[in-house]
Amino acid sequence: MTSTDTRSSGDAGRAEGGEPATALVPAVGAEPATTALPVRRSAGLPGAGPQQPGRWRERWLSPALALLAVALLPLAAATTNLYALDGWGLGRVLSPAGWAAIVCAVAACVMELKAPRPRIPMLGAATGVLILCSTGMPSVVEPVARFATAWLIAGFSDAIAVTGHTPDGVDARFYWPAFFAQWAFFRDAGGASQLDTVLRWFPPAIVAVWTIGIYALARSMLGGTRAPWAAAWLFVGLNWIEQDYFSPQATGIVLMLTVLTFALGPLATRRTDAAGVPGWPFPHPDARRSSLLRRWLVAALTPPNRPTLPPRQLLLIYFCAALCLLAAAPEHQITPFAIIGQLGLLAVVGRFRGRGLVVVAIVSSAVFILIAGREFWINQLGLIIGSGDQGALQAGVANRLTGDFGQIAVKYLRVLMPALTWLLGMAGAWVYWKRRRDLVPIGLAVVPMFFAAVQSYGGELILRIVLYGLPILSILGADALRALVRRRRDLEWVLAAGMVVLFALLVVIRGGNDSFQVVFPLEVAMYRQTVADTPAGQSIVALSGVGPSGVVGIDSHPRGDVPDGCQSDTDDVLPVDCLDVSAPDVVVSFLSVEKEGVYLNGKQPGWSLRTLQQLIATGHYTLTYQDGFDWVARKIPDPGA
Amino acid sequence: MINPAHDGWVWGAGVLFLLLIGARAYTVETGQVRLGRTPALARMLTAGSVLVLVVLCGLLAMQGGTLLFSSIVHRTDPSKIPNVVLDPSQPVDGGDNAPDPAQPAAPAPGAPPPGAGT
Repeated sequence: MTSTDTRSSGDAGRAEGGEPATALVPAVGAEPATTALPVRRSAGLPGAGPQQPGRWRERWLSPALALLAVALLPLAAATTNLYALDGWGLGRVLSPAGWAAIVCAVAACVMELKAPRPRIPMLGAATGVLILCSTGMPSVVEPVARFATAWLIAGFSDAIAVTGHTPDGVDARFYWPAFFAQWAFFRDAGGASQLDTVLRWFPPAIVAVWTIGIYALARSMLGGTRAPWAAAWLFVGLNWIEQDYFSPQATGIVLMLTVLTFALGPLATRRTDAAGVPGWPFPHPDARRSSLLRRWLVAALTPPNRPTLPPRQLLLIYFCAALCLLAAAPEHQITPFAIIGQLGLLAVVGRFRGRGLVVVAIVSSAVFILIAGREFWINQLGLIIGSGDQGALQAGVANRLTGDFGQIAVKYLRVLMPALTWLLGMAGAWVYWKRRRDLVPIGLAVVPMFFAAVQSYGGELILRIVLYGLPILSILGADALRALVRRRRDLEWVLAAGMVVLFALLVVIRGGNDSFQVVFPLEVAMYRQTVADTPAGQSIVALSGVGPSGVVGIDSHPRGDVPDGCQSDTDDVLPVDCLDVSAPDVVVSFLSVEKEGVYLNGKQPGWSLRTLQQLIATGHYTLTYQDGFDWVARKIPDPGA
Repeated sequence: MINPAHDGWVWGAGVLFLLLIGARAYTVETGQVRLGRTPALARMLTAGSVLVLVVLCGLLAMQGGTLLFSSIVHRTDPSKIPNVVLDPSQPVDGGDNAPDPAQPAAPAPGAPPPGAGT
């Protein structure tokens, strides 16, 4: 060891088992004793070189496992029976090849992280495979994108691509049109007529982008070479919230993470006193302690120190961060407020340079909402402030605990996961506090909770609160786990086994609704054909909100209003009497509608076909297409009209 | 009453604010400063940014900010307020004193006659 090399390799527990390469190599005689350069192994050194028994394993095992995981995915897709989906969702029907792919992907990550010198490209590739085998598993085994909302948003983009402008009076989400317009532009520029493939692969792609942000954030906050990767995997494993479908909030999270990465990375700084000591300026021992207000004022007027970056780089980062903030305003309703809250906290405690960015975020959001969104808040203010709504907890948690045993079990797992996430995050906050005397990170995770005091966001606010806090909680959780394995190295294998369990649970939880969220290509083709065969202006109503209805024609074919008295808290399926009252021109139904009724709403199997029979029996409708539970009924024109 | 015709001023003030704050950032980050001194140009741009921000806040308040704030505080529905947004297709004064579009407006006193040149 040189005189300046006082760092431990941290590999004390790894030296056994044929890995002598991880041991600290003593300086040999040829090396100058005073050099500060790290000690490099050479082929001639004793104990190193290709003759090492573990060398091949270190180099090739992780890539081999990653390749095996990818190779198992087509097999998983071919052997998973999606028609057997029930209340347990994808977890019940996923073939053993799919589970084996998850185990191989986790093993690839763990083996590379355990290597004496983890290779960043290999860790990146293994992380990509892990995302594909977990978040991307539904994209792999299902023929097209699932989730009705993703298809509806594709319909929004379609409306803009076809007409060139946002349609009026169709959906409140059109007041934040940036995402829809962006994809309409991409679609036109690419010469495509639909976005089906984008929809299918959007979740793993966007989670990969998020994970890059988490890795960058964790590198700034945790340091080290292994902990940032653990934080990234923890984020992927705990992200059951499923806001990564083709949606504005998915892109909003990218913008949020970009700004946070800038603020906690290259722009990060601290207020220091004149001597360069971090923290509040220390008063003279005999001086009277100034008031809290004055101390706040002094802090607010004291600019944080300049980061050690050239001015041009600093300005470029300001510009990019401002661009993200401006883009977030028309992108999504509440993401800008999450960014403002987190940036505001960092600005108050003086953790980044460029406090003007907070003003840019506030001004851009205020101008956009007040001016561009005027029609929205004048007519639908209740949606903003949640007046007349149920509480976020009631709407977001209690009202959703319905369905058969599988549905209830999966939903309890969804409640359990955020609780565990917060528990781990709090443990990490304690470790972080002990190490750095800093509570700001946990504050960043807490800030989105203030949304709950404002509104319920249609019952989905709890999901947003967990999602916006998850990046920081994952990083803090990784810090807690790192502290744990530093105390007990033998727990590394326990954590590896826990990682397998976590990612298996992720597939179960995320796929819990797949019995009524899965979509088949035939259903998409059926809906497109129905729209093509229906004159503009005639309404097309789906028997329920699930399925690919709305993928085209949302501006030309009204999707119908639910008549008074037909709404129900737990069942959004229109009964046949209501259909007769609302008299839509076309009624469509899908296999997912049938399964939603059976597994979520407790209806008898075959109920949607019985509804069809009742509809036909009214004499007002005729069946124009049927394939199993997929059917289209069209209103018989009035001969007197 | 909100007049949509004034929205352009709000957008303009917003863009001007962004330009000023960007120019201020450039001045602050690239300027050579001595300890305890702020360059005069940076101070001028700071004052300009604050001034434009105040104007912008005033315009925002006029163009709906006050209404939104009071609606949230008092839990009232702004859509129930009659004529809350001025309809640009309707004349402001109810039409009694509005000029007839068929009749050309009288030239202002002292205005040059048509085709007089400069």
